[in-house]
Amino acid sequence: MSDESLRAWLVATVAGYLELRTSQVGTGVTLRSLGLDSVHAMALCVDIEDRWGVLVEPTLAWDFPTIDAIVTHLAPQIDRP
Amino acid sequence: MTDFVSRFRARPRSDRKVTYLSDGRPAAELTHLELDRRARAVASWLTGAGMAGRPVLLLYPAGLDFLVAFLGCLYARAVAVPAPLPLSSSSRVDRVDRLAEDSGARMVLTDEAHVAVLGDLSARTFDETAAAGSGEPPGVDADAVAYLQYTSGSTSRPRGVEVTHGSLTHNLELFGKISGDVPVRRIGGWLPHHHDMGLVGLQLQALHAEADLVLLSPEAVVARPIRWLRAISDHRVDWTVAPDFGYAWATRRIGDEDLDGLDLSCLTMAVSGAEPIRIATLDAFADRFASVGFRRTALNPGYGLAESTLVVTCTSRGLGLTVRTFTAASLAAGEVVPTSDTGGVPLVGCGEPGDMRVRVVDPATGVEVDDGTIGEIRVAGPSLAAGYHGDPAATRATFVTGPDGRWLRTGDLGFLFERQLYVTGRLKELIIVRGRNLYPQDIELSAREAHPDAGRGAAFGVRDAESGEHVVLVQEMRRASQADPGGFTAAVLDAVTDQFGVPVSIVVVRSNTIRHTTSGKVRRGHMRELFLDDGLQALHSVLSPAVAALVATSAGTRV
Repeated sequence: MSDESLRAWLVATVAGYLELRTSQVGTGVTLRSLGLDSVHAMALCVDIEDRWGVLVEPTLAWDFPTIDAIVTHLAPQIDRP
Repeated sequence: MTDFVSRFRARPRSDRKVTYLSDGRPAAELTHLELDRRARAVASWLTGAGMAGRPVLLLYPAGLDFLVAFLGCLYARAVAVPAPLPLSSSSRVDRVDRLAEDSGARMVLTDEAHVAVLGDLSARTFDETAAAGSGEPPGVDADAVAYLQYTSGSTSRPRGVEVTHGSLTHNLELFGKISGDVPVRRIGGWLPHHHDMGLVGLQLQALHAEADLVLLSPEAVVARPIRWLRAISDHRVDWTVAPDFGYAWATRRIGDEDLDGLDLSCLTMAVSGAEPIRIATLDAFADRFASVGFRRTALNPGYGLAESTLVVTCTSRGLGLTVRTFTAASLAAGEVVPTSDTGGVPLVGCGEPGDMRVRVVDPATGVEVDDGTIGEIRVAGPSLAAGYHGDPAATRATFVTGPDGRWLRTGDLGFLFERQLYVTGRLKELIIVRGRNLYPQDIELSAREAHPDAGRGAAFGVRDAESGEHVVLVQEMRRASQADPGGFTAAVLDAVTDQFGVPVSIVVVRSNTIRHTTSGKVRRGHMRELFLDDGLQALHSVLSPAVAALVATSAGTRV
């Protein structure tokens, strides 16, 4: 696993919730500004848990408001091959 | 008619239970008999504390304690005030403060886990160790207020609907009629208990109908909607309730791998209510889960509001959807014309008026209109609430007493057609341009579909004494968009004016400019004020001269 694969997965996942193209999802802009709401934020926690096997707080998307910040936060917790 | 409280107390069953499914923990259970015993103890304690006739604010997480406390209040003749448990954020605490102030509640009850968190509110747990009073409490006065139902509403001020013991009982009896010949056996769902549909439609209905009740928390189901369907399948639930959002979210988030072993053939009643019902949502849900036994006839839309306790009309169990298609032009003109054209607008019927009388009236004159004509929906009957707590002016304006009885002005627009009630929008948001009725949500949808970078929108009318009403659209352009704001504006304007044939003034703004309520309803009135006060940061705007003049005058005079 590289940080880049986590980042790319987050971009694709968030784009899916918001029905955006992945090119429209910047990793340095706040998720709220992209239109992420509380229901999407809950879904993101669940999807991270399912895909990456780490438990995250429901407030993840507000505590770490950009994709880059989430990557920095999560990368050390995710097992590397 | 025996009231709800007296009836439940008289014969709580030991073979019916309430179950709370908490993820990762064993299910918590109480039989109806145990629930009654605990509620009696709470009532005895509340009576000892002198709470009869006084409001008690109930701040509980999802679980069984809420129902014990709520019933305890009703037994003791205290006025229950269910409210959402505040999160740590200050805005939510402010909301609770406003509820406490508005309701006049001096006692706040919560569970062990939240006493410390709610320290500022002097919240406490109920005490069940107080000696239970011997003998039965006095009979219930049907006109006494049982609880206050606060509606979220889009106004800053909370509004507590006074639901009486009589209106609650009547509404619960209405559910029995909707159920038909076969009484409901197991009710399951996840709507919060401070929501009228969660309180009356799930919890109190189960007690009144002597049915099992299976509860989940809203958070658990939003995170993984499969939990809702799993609970229905595992517990053989035959009746569930959710807003349109719930059915849409389940359809979108539940994967094929989750469907293994799921059997929804037990479900005969899946009520959709509390927000506009979209036929596309119901179709997609029925298609998605048909392979695991879900029957389309189980989808039964309803119409209701807290001012009528909960339900006004609801499709009877087993009847399924009534969908009729009308021409878009006839809906805009306010006299519906059915069509079989593919270009028509399909609408879902919300059931036939029965014990609650329904009238559709011209909102300007109050005169009843013919079937098929759109007007304001008015409702009369014993389920009507007493009024708004502490607000006689709002009560008089909304609950209108005339020679033909007491009628609730719902503020909702709709029409009767082939005996079914159809709901088409909200009165106060309606935009009327040269006699044509335009619904803001239709304009917003058209704009959203006009360009891939179109986010939320808010459409509303602004009125000029001379030139009449004008349509204004405040439209968000997604922040990540690379589009030129001028080109984006033109594309949206083209689509909207093409579809509706009226001039539209547009202000293009950044994402997260449009305000909405916690339940996701666009706050069009608020956006209208911001617009008229010239308080929007526009990326681009195209205003008709009349509208531009209105803004200049209005913003100028308000400073």
